[in-house]
Amino acid sequence: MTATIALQFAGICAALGMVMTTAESLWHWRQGNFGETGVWPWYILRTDHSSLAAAALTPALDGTGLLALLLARFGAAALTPVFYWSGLNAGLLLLILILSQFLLTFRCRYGGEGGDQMTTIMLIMALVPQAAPNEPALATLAALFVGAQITLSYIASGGAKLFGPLWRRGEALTKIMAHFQFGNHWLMTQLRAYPAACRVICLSVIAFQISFPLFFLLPAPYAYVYLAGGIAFHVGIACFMRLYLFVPSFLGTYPCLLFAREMFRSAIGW
Amino acid sequence: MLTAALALILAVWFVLSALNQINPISARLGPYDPLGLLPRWTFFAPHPGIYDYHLLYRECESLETQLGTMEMVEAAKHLVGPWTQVPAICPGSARFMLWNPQRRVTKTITDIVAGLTTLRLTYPDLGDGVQFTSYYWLLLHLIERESQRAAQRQFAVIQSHGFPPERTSAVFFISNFHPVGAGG
Repeated sequence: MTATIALQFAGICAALGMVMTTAESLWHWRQGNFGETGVWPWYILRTDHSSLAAAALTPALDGTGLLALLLARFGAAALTPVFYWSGLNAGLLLLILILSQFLLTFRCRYGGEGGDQMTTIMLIMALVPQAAPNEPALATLAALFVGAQITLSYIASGGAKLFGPLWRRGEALTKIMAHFQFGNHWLMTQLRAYPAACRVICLSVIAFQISFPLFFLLPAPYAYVYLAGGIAFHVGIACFMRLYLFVPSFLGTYPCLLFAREMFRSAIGW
Repeated sequence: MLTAALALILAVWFVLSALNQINPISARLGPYDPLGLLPRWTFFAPHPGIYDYHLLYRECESLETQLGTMEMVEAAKHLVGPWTQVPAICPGSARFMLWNPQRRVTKTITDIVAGLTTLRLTYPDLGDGVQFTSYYWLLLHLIERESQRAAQRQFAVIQSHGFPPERTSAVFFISNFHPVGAGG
């Protein structure tokens, strides 16, 4: 596994995630949700920013300018995998995706999710080897950074769960599944029928997340149990909570994680 | 040189990302991160999102009657209509695993509720000062767009848990009456 290949995979997955989210944004555009009478009207959202910055960015963040931005983003996201597979430099497309991500994040701080944050990191790091193809050291740093962020995400998430009474008591999953918008009635019923199983799952999630650094220390194939656990975790979230962006954005970082593991183990002589 | 510069940037970025996982530090860093470069990885923890939020409104067709206090509302009770849910904001259980754009709308309401909660905790004496925040303006905007009819309108955010018929609910927030619509 090389850093460049790992970052290419991350770039393709991030772009596929952006195809999905931009299709959603275009749907919201058609519903009028970005307009003056919509859910995210710029005339209110702009009050969170300095008037100068808001005025300067209004042409791109409101009206037809916003539609043009979304269409450019959709086109760039759809073309990125094609460019990678054709061996073409995808730098410009990634740059468009990163800038559009910045602009849309600036426009609205509501309605985002963890997958969006990871996508931003993946796109910026995927740009590094495209912008400097003859500098393998830069690609190595970028891939290590993605590996470090995904590791941090699991440790932080597991650590935070330790402070949650619902998680410690093993009741969190039943409660989450009882959520009308993001839950699942069937799974909620099963977890209520088997509370011991719910407790085991909750504690397993915490154990998996806070012990994630073992992925770097354990020898293969035992370390890969963590990758299998991560895949099950993210696919489970997509299936039962319909939060599908987690799949391309988090699983797309796994080659970088493997690369970081190889680097770590060779650095300490394992 | 370039490698050292990138290494330094990424090291600083990673340290700030790690610090951003800690609540009080995250609140301080937030305003300096308008582009969302500092991730917050504490998914579903420590307190997982277990509530759905519903936006409701009711209106008083009279613009003359003052509804500034609860006593005034009580006195004009016969003029005030029933509570109505804003359908576009209503949480709905998505059928499809790969197509759920409505989640962004309902997450927006959840984010507004989280913002209001933080405001209440940070400024316990805020009172009507909440009316000068973009959280409040967005909610008011969402009920204003429901009808162009001139009236005084009040909104409420209700939090619920569970699937019908076992669903339990409670009032999270209730606003003042505001003149809205044509001439409002």
